[in-house]
Formats: sequence, C-alpha cells, structure tokens
Amino acid sequence: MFGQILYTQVKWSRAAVAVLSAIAFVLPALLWRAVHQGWMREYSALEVMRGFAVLGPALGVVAFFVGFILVAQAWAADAATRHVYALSLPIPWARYVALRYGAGALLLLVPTIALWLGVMLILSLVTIPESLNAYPGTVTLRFLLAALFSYSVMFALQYLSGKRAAYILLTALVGVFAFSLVLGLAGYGEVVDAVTGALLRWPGPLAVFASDWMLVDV
Amino acid sequence: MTDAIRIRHLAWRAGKEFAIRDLAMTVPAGAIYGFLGPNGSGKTTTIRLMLGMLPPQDGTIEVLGHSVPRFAHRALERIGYVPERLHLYQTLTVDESIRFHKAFHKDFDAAEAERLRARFGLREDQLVSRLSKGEAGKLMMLLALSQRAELLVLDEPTDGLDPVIRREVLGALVEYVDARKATVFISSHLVHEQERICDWVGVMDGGRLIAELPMQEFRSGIKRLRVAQAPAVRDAAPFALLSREPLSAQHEQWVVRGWQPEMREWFQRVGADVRDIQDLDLEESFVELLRGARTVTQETR
Repeated sequence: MFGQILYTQVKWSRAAVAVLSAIAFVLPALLWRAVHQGWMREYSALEVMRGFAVLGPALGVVAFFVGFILVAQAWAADAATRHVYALSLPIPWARYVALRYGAGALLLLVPTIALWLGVMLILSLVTIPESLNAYPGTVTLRFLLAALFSYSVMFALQYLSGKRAAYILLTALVGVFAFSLVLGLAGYGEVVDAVTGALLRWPGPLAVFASDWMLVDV
Repeated sequence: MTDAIRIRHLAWRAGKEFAIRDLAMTVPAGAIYGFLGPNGSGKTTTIRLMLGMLPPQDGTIEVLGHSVPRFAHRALERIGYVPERLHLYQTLTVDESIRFHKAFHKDFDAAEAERLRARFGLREDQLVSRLSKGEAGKLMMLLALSQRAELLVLDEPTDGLDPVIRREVLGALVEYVDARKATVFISSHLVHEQERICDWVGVMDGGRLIAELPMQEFRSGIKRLRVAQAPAVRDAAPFALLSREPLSAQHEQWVVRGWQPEMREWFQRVGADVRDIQDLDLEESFVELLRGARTVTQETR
C-alpha cells in the first residue's frame, strides 16, 4: 500500500524533485564561488566566514521551497479529483493522509542527498583555510530538517484548507511584515526584535531556517 | 442480513438552497436497485453520504451491516464504486491504475481485471488522462468489478456513453451480478435503462425520496384515468393521486399510483365513473411521479 502511494508520489513529483535536486547539488559550488569571487583566488579565513554568514541562508531558502513544492505535488492529483478516489478507498482517512505525508517526506531525501553530494564534491575540489573546518553533515542535516519543517507546515495547511493554503500563508507573511513595519515606524522596534527573536532563535519554530548555515566555520 | 443499505432520517444541507431531508431508504440484499431522479435531485450527494465521503448532519446509515461514516472504510472493502465523473489519477496508465487499486483491495482479482481489460479493449500503457469518456467509464467499471464486491454503487455509470459501449458495460455488469449474486445500487436519470435491469426503484426529487417500490409495481401501478363527475375530495381514495387536470366540463384526467382493478368500485361509491384506463410507460410514470410530488410540496408550503 505504501509502495503504491510512494510510486504515485514519485510519478507526480519526479520533475520537481529532479529540478530541486539539481539546484541542491550545484548550490554548494555556487555558494563557494560567490563567497570567493572565483575558484583559485587566495582568501582569508575571515573572508570565508563572512561570506558564508551572508550567503549560507540561501540553503535555508532552497530547503523551504523543497518542502513547499513537494506538498503541492503530493496533493495535486487528489485535489484535482476532489479527493473522491482517495475517499472511496477502504482505508481510514487519517491513515491515507499519513501515508501521503510519509511518501512525500521520504522524497525530501532526494534533494538532501543531492545537496550532500554537491557539498562533498566541492570540498574535495577546494582547500579551506587551515584554521577552519567543513561541516557537510551538519549543513545537510539542517537542510533536511528545514525542508521537513516547511513540508510539514505546508502539508497541514494544505490538508486543513485545500487550495486556500497558499492564500493563508501569503496573508500571514504580508500581515507579519506590515505589523512589523507599523511597530517599527511607531518606535516599537524592540517589540519587533523580541517577536522576531522568539520566532527565529532556538527554540522558536523558525530557528532551523535562521541558524548558521556555515558550510565552513571555525 | 437482509438489507444491503439501510438509511433512516438522513439529513444534510449545503448552503441555503439544497438539502437532503429526512431520507429513508432500504436496499434489499441481492437487489438491483435503480436510483432515479432528475439532475440536481440529490442522487450523487446521497451516494457520497452512503459511502462516508460526506458527514451526515442527522440520521443513520448502515451499509453491509457497517455504520457509516464511522466504519465507512470497512464497508468500502466490500463495495465497488463507480462515480459520476472520472476520479482516477490522470498521470497513471491503465496498468498502474489497476495496480494502485489492487493494493487497497485484498480480494482484488487480478486475472479478472486482465480479462476485462482485454474485453474492454483498454491498452495497458494508455494514460488515464488520454482515455475517452467511454474508455474511462470502462476502466472504472473494470476496477469495481475486479474487486469481487458484494455491493456495487454506480453513479450514472453509462451517462454520455455511446450505445455500443453502454451495452458492453451493462453486459459486464449483468454477468457479474448473475455470477456473484451481488447487490447493485445504480443511479441514473435514464429511465429506460433502469427498466431493463432493475428490480427495485427509488425516486429522488428535491432532496427527498418520493417513492421506493419494486420495479414491477412501479411499472404497472401507475395509470392515467379519465374520470367522469370527478369527486372533489381525494383523501379517502384507496390509491395515491399524483395529478388531476380538467379535460372538459364533465371529465378530468387523473394520474394515480397503486392502482388495482377493484378500485373502480370506489369511484362508483362517490358518484363518479372511470371511463378509460391507460398504462403509462416507465418514463411517463417517472414524470407523473415527479409532477405529483412537486404539486404536493407546493400545496404544503
């Protein structure tokens, strides 16, 4: 049963998974090049760290979109048929949802493995400064967790609200931005900082995105 | 168990306009039950309630002994369902659709599926999205029949199919019922199609079941009468008066349900006389039944 659910999920998502995996694979190389403005240039440890501190969150952005896109793919076929087929199958609805969730979550591994391969490839080609270390495992695990978080939140939203999920998310983002802007202009910047900190710093729900995405660090 | 489907006091409402009201329905085990009604009368909604796809707001539903929606998944193990519109995944091929369906039905007969696939002329590698309406109908029927279901719930299974394909689909259905003695619940607005295969009939209109009776009774019990000196009062009549229209100063045309020849005496007792009795065909009976029910509804408002 899970095998068939996974099979359908692979069939629906394979193009998206291929594109996302390709992006995840080349991303470490692009980051490295952006950090060093070239492959062969001499660089300092500080320069590398600053570069990754600024550009590393791009990995988090890609992780977010990996989760987001795979959820859209997971439910698209059922949504197109108004869930009639899924509901007519002799299986409790909660179990069906769990199987769909599990199959989609498993597919997150493909871009994650692609990222790990990309990281390992780039680390085998470049020399990092002596005082620094590479953290391919940590960055890859963080990528997987960020993608899983994004996938889970979007899956719940999509499940609860169907096609309205994207509108709800967009409204929430615009609302948070507008709220922060108004508070900031009104002189309550510290409130905005406190709220942002609560969301982005551990154990805040978005901490996995805001943590250090340092492929190379001390 | 004597009833395959048993519904009591079922109520469901969507918005202000449409509602299923106090629906009671009994489908005997082994029957081929024709579920008739005009478009928008609530047939598909009733089927979705029956299969647990919609939660009822009131009432009870039992399908094959299982309370629905709570144990819908257990009932669905024994039900083959063909919906009104194609519900299968568009990106799968015919073969993949069969394998997917098989994974969820433990009694699925793969050999029968293969036999029906060949009989219906479906190619294994055809994409579901590329199937014609007839081919899609055949694939859905193939899946339902290969499940070895005890109950087949078919929602307009032949709607829009050409006569050749309709005959193929109905032929496979009749063979299945003969071989397995399954119960069939078949919804349609094609009255003549139902007449050929059904032994029970339920008629739905405006979210209410306005009649449920054996097909034989439906076929022979509705008559058009020409009545002379027609009485004004109809409540005491031993039959159900579906409609009455004046033909002339002396005569009225009545359409009645539950007619028996000995009921002529009732007319004589009230000073009237039946001058002519006509049999209605099934389609006329269906139309008159709807007309009668709508007249009663308007009068009670």
